[in-house]
Amino acid sequence: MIVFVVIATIAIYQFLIPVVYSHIPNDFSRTKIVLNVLDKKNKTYKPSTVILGNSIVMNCINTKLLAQKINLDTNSVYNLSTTGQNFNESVLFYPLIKNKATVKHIIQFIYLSNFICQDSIEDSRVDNLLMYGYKKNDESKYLLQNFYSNEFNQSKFIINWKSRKIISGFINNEFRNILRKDLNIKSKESLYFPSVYTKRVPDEAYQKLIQKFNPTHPITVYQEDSSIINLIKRASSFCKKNNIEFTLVFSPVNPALNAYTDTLKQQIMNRFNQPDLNQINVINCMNLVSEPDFIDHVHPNPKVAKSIADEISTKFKSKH
Amino acid sequence: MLFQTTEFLLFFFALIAVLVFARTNKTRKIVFLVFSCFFYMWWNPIFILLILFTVSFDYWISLQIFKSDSTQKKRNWLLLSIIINLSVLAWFKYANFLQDNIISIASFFDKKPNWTTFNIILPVGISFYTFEAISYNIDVYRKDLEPPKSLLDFITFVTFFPKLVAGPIVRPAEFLPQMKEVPKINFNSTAIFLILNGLVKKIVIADNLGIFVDAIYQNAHNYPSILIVIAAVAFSFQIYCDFSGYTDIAIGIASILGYQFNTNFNKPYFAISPSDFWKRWHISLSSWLRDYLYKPLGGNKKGSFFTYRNLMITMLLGGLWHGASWNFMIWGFLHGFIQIIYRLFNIDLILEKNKLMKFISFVLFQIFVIFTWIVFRITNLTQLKFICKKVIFFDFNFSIASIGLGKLQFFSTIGIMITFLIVHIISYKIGGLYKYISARHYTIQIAFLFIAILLLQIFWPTHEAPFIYFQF
Repeated sequence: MIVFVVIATIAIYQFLIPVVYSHIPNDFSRTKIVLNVLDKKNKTYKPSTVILGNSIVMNCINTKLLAQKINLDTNSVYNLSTTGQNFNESVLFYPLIKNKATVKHIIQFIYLSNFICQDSIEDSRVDNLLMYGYKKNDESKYLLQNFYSNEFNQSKFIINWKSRKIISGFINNEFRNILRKDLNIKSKESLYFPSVYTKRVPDEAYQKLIQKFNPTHPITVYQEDSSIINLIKRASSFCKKNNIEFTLVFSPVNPALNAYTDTLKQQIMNRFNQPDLNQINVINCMNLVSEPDFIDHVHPNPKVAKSIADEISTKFKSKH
Repeated sequence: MLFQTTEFLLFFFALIAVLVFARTNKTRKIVFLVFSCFFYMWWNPIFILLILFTVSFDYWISLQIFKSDSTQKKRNWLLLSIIINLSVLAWFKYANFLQDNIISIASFFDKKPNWTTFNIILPVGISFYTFEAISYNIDVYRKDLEPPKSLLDFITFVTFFPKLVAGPIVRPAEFLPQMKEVPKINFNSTAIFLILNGLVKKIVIADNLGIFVDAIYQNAHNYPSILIVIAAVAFSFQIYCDFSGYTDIAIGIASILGYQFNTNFNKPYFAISPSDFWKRWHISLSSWLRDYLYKPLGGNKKGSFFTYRNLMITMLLGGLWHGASWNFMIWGFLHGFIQIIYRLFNIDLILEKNKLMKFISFVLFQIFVIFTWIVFRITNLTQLKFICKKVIFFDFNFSIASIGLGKLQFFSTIGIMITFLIVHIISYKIGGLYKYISARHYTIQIAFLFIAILLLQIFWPTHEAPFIYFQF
């Protein structure tokens, strides 16, 4: 009887957890929105341009503003960035974008530190994608290559088991949202400007974050990480092959993180002048935002959306 | 091998399967011995030799004590046993500590010792089985116990896997007589709910609270006093649920295998005074220290000064038993000190007569206990000093909303603590939740089983956490 109850409970859990996962909000639930928009069967959404990146992009890219400046339909440029979405996660959406015939342009944001060194996608992020119904295929495997995680090959049973922390995650996030009056949680679901962080953190906390995330020694020499360069090349050629325009944008970097020196930034930009990369459209927004306009160590204030939109549109116009 | 792992589940069912075929008492003992050795060797195979040596040696000594005709000879054999056992324990557990302190003192005088530093691995469970072996020979010496007729009985007793690595410290006089009968395998509902009780305590409560506690104490400099205090309370719940959870599982498993262990915890956070606390917390250790250390030192029979001295020695050594580190000594000292204060002012007598005083004492003493857990938790003295300062000189900084409470799992920690407190009070009122459930109708038992397994699945932490008392 005990064995029966144990098996029955496990079966019920296995049945319930996917349902629970897709219905309760958590830090990653924006992934569900992205997958829904990019679902080729879903005709409600017809994006012409999609912007991918992490929470920095969520906080400082207002696509309505950007669309206006580059003369596109303001409802057709989508900000599909999500918290913690690094480049290697973004490319997982490329095959879906390819199938969504309306998309003509991908604007891919990348953060400086990820350009220097990029690890594989965290297992929890892969689990999250799978729980929201992401289906890996040969194209996603090809795009990722070194970054491909074996987590994609795990059985549904294991993924369900690993997703158990959704409940405690839900509790912690919901109560945090109640306390954090400064967070604009509702905008998290926006397809145009999902800026969550609105107020600068207290000075003491800000200084601690700067100390924590500023590399110990100034980086003055750019050491190339071939994995990330190859990922950019593959992403670019994938887009070219599928008649999608590809633009790589370097996200703003807080000047207080002064270990990321101007020399380093310049060396990185120079890399894109070399023959193997000079076909790629690159926009540098690294030095665009001044320190007072950052609300913490990485996130710019949503108010800078205008200047970033200006920069991108100027570069666009000069290109076209 | 941890109780909450798949390996252990397989190990346990393999044991049950083999026991079905081993029907005589002797074969069952052999099976227990083989499986216990396997269980221990899963961690580090070589150290099984140490246990087997210690046990065989102690058994041989016990026979010498038993056979000796003069008290002097008996005493000499006992002394030899104690010296050997404590020397082995001292070498493995305290040599590194001694070395570190010698180096610190030498460096204070600008001297550098020129020996090669030794880095000794602490064998799991050594404190537990050494104490069992010592008490065995003392019991034989005191004629409270006759040595078993075969070495097999004694080895099986010491190595019996449910209590081998983290206790409870089982008295030979309680266990060896049980070995005369063929143990009956019995999946009784009390044992099953006791095991579930232990698993829920360990996995749902202790391991989840541990995430918050570790995060705060690893970077205490980044957090205000209020979070450090909450972490201290959380740790007091964590250590109780971790250790008593282990004990519950151990007692439950032993019961299924046909052996009974005594209770090791009896709602210690309802204790109103130090003496009450030590009758409820890690009972097998505190009663061991009382019977084999405090009383032989003279107990409370030789006047106040000697009583205080004996109390302090007992608590200091009790602290040191937990680990070779100054923080454990301080922890033992604090508990010894509070016991002396209670005795000095006869507070226990006052508490018997006055309900209000009882309540005040309960609150103050439990605050003291929580504070001492900080000392217990932090092994680095500089960090300990900083944290104690943060707690004593409270900074009244309550602006904690934007310091990453979500990532710290702060809210689920608070939720778990409140739920635990409520369930713990209910359990106290009904005389033990597992006993209550196992005495109810079958359908209620199934409902509780269902809830417990669902809770375990949802709250099972993503990182495996060993039991805290494994390190002792």
